[in-house]
Amino acid sequence: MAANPYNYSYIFKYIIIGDMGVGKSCLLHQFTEKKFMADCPHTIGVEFGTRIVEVSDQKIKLQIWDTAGQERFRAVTRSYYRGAAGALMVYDITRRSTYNHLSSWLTDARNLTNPNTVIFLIGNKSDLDAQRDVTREEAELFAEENGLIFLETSARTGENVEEAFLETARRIYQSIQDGSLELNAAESGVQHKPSPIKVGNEEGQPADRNCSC
Amino acid sequence: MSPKNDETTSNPLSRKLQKVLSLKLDQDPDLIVALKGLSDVVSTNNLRTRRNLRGDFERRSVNLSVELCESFSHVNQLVEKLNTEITTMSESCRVMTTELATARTQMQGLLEKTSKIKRESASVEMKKEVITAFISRYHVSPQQAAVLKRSDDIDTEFFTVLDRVRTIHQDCKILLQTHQTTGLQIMENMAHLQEQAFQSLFKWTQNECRRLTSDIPEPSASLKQGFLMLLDRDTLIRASLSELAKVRRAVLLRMFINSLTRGGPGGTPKPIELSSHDPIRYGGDMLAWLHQTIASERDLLISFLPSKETVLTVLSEVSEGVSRTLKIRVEQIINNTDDCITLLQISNIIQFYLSTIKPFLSEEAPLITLISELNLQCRKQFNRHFALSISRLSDRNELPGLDLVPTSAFQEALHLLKIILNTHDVSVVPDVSPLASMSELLDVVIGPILTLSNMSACQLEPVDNAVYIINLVSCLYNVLAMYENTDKTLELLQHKIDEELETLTNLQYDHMIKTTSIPPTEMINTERLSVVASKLDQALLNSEVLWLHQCTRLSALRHRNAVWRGASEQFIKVYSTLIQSPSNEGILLKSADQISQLLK
Repeated sequence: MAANPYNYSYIFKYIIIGDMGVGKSCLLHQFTEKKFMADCPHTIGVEFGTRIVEVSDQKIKLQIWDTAGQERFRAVTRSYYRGAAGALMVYDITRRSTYNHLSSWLTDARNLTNPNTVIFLIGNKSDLDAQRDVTREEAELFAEENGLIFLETSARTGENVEEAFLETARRIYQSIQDGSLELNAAESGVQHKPSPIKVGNEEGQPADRNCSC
Repeated sequence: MSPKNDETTSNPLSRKLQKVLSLKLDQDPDLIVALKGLSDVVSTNNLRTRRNLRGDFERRSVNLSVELCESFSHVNQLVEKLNTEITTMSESCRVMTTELATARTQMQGLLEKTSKIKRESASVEMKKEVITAFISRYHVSPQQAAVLKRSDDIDTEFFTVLDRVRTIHQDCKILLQTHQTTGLQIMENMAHLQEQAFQSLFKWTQNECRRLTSDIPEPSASLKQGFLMLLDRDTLIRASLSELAKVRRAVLLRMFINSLTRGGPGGTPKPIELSSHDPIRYGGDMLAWLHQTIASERDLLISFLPSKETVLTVLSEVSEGVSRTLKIRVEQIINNTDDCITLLQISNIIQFYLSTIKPFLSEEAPLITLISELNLQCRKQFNRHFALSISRLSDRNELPGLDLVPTSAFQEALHLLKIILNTHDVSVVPDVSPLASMSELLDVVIGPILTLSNMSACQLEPVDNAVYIINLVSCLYNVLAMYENTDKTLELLQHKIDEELETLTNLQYDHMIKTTSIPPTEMINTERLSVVASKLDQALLNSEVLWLHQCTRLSALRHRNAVWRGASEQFIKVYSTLIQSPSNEGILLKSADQISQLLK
């Protein structure tokens, strides 16, 4: 038989937000396909990708919702924050305007997600250092003031992309270990899949269901 | 000499003597040995010994003979004994030979038997191999068969055996060519086993499906293979898939209701219904929830269903579970919203989700049908409310002022139109045909607005009416011109403007004729021409009297020019016929060109 498709123990839901053209879809593509997607078209609404990662010896399936940055999609994309366990908030280090809009994105993220949602600030396009418009120090300060984790990444070279996604997963996993995140409800953004152990009375349950149906 | 010789030879004595004399004793070795031997025997050479010599020798010879005799008798005994033994031996040998011969005869039979057995053994061995091969190819052991009857626990072993049974069934076709009865029998057995196996598998699959009741369930590792096998049995796979769909449908509905009314654990995220006061948010949240859940559900189904089609079938059925719940709520939103802009936004959002969710389900999935219906309802409600808004504006019965600019009611309608077009322009619908969707919208909104403008204009004098309508339609034209894909409607509006311009041009021309009192051709006479001449002179001095004062209310300069130009051209044409009339002798002094220059 092929590799068991169910061999992961958690599902974490992520959302990627940020202005148009900061490279959200490219980050996702780099993370899921390990490739840089040049000439990436504007995202229409939302798209999603998945990848199974390993954190603390646990296989975790990341279900990542990549939202459109265009303003006109805000009404639609805001509905996707619901139940996200991780939010990657992306700006473009070569365009200050995308950095300036962070507070608006952060407000959305705080208002529309759970208090436990891990919000990760990403300064993308670190390969374009020559055109840098936002210093690392400045963003670090912003992250610190707002209690965010921060990394500069490059979807083009792949630098720090893994780290950003994995660190988010580690933090979420930590919250689970602490007990601050409740599991097994689709709405909490994290789901735990118990290892398949046969339970004796399992036979009875379906039979009961059958009768009642 | 001869006689002498003859004498000697003839006398025996002499011959003897001769012989003795010729004896050379000292040279006779035999004699020497004999003498030496004698020396050993006779120690002393005296008479006595010489006399007794013979006797001695004879005695000695006798003694020796006796001794010899004794020795020989012993030898004789031994020889006799030997002889006896040899005889015995010979006897034994003879017996042995006989025995050997017998043994050999017996052995011959044995050997024959052995080689026969050997041959038999080889053939048995061969048969054994054939049988082993046959069994390995055509036989299912009772233990294996028992595996196929288990429906409580299906694992890889089950599938290995089932696979084997299927292979055997296949192979029987080869067997049938040579061993028909056996082949048929085995085939029948295998078919029976397979049937049993499929029944077990079906039962097991149904039970497994019934277990998948949690939000993100844990399907058994064999489930995929189970479904794959069942693909061979149309009725079984359909029943299994529908069981699966039934179970997951209930799960999805439960999850949906939970999200709507209870939200996440501990109330975060909040229940979706909490935002029901905000129709766009409420509708969007519900549909986004569905999109995400259907995507996850598809992921789950893909992990164990055997084909794309089966995933699609099940997912379509599963998603239908939430249809009613969704329908009631979205219809409520639509019916409770009376603002046409909000309705258009809701429709945009519904359309967005329609195109987002559609790729996950089959085209004819009930949920997709429902969402399109909801969109249609929403659009109808929008149309209704838009028409209502416009009719409310027309109810004001506002008459245009003397300036003939659009009434405030019309301005409001125009404002509403702008918002609608903006809303459409920034809609989130991934438009496959932006032209079609814009025309669809314009078809709905332009009609009522034109009706509104006609209604307010119809109470006006013809000139005012034409000017007013041109002004209104131009406004409308200018608004639409700022948006893409409006060309067809713009053409229509332009046509209407042109029509009104033509009417207005004719009116203006009539006015010019009236002002200058130019008579119809058949009534031309000198008297009338002189009236024309004086009136024309006056008018040319003060050209405003020639000009319909309402035409100055045309908001577009080019429309004013067009009317003036059109009317002037007609006027000059008439004037030209006038001056060519025979009655015109020195009455109309100005040439048509001159008039044309003056009218410019």
